[in-house]
Amino acid sequence: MNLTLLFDVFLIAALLLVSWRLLGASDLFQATVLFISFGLFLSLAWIRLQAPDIALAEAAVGAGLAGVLLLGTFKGLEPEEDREGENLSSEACRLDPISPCPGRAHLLLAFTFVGSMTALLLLAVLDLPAEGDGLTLLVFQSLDRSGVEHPVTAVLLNFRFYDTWLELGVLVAAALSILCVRNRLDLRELRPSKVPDVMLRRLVMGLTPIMILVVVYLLWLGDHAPGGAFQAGVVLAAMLILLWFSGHASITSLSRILWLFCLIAGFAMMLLAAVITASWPEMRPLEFAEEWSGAIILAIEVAATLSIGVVLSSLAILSLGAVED
Amino acid sequence: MEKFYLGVACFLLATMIVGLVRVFVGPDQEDRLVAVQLFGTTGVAILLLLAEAFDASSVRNAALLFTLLAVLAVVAFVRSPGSLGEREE
Amino acid sequence: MEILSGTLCLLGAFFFMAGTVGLIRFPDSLSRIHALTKADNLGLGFIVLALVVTSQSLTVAFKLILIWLLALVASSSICFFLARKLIHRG
Repeated sequence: MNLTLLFDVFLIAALLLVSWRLLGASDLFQATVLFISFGLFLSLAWIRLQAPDIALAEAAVGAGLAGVLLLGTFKGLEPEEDREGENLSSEACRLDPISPCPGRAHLLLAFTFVGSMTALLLLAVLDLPAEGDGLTLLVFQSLDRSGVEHPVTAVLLNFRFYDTWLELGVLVAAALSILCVRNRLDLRELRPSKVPDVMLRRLVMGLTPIMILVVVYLLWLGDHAPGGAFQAGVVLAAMLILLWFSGHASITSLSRILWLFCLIAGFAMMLLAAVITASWPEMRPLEFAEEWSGAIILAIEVAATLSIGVVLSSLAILSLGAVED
Repeated sequence: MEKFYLGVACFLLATMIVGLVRVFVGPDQEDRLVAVQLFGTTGVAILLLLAEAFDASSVRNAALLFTLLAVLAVVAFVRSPGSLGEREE
Repeated sequence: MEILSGTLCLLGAFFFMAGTVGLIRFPDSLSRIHALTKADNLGLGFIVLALVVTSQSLTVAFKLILIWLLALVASSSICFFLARKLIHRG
């Protein structure tokens, strides 16, 4: 049997197995751990699908950050461990023991919906041309005018500028909405208490310079290889969260103005580029002049990295820190 | 040589699947996290082998990220409020 | 050269398998953590060594060794934290 086929079969089996157990997990912590393992296998799958950019993002978000965010969210939901008298969880068929089990009508509706979506997807996939490169040819034709050498970065930050811009807007909206949920104005009350844990402090002290290097490396890589602002931003967020865990104030020590500035930096930078190109006499909106596009994209990527790092770490610290009140 | 690396990667993937048993069963929460940690390291090995087999150097960066981010998930678990009462003083 | 790389690779795979078997079969959480460290250090080390031996350039070799060292630091710390939490819980 072909070795790559064997690898793919194992991978698909692992993904199906993990997701099956995930949906039937008996408590939220086990679901979180299964979700992290799912992220690891999925990252391998992205490599096999020849999408190293997505594999990098999945490795960073799925393996690390999603686990932290889910742990922080579930701590507020999970019933305490010492409530031994409650036997609800042994009879519940869902993760939260209070709501009733789904009846036959629910299941029928769910199966119909899932079945029709799967059928539609299959039809769409079968409809694709058998020999097609998709949009690859178009992208490579315009690549030398885009300011970068890596096609994915060119698409994200030049050809499909709007999409990335609005995604950064979604991140800002998420940060603001969790502020509302946690009833806070900023992070300043969430300073970590003094941590007497020497091992953790030493470990984070050693890892932080390495993580800074990795952030800069990924940012620089985005120009000509898989990498870029999002992956660098996630590593930055991981570094800030680790610093917070080890007792360092990290982003909770920022004043409100500075913190908000970091949150919106990426979105604002892209907005600035849009406004300038729309109102400058000879330019057309969002069309960068060839000799400037490399520099503009780099500036936007730096701002976006900062934004993504601060937003994601704020989300984590807000969910984790608020439960300790 | 590439085929050999790919074969070893398949074998490592099989050990990962076997290790899933511990994630499903493992009585303690720590057991499950230890199993996930093993997945992380095995995943790094698989990624490095795939990078050599398919001649894709960007895959090594994914291995780097696996290593770094695995620390984060475990630190978050260990430092959650349930365990704050047991810090060494 | 290729035979050396292949042998080292097989050694690494053996240690990974030993680590997984230990994870499944050892009776106690702490001993499972012990099994894990063998896989991390030696298994990954041998595979990295195998890849370094046949690597095309010096930068790739350095990068591989750096990844291995980082994995050592990361996984030892992780196992320490998990084991300490287990012991403190009694």
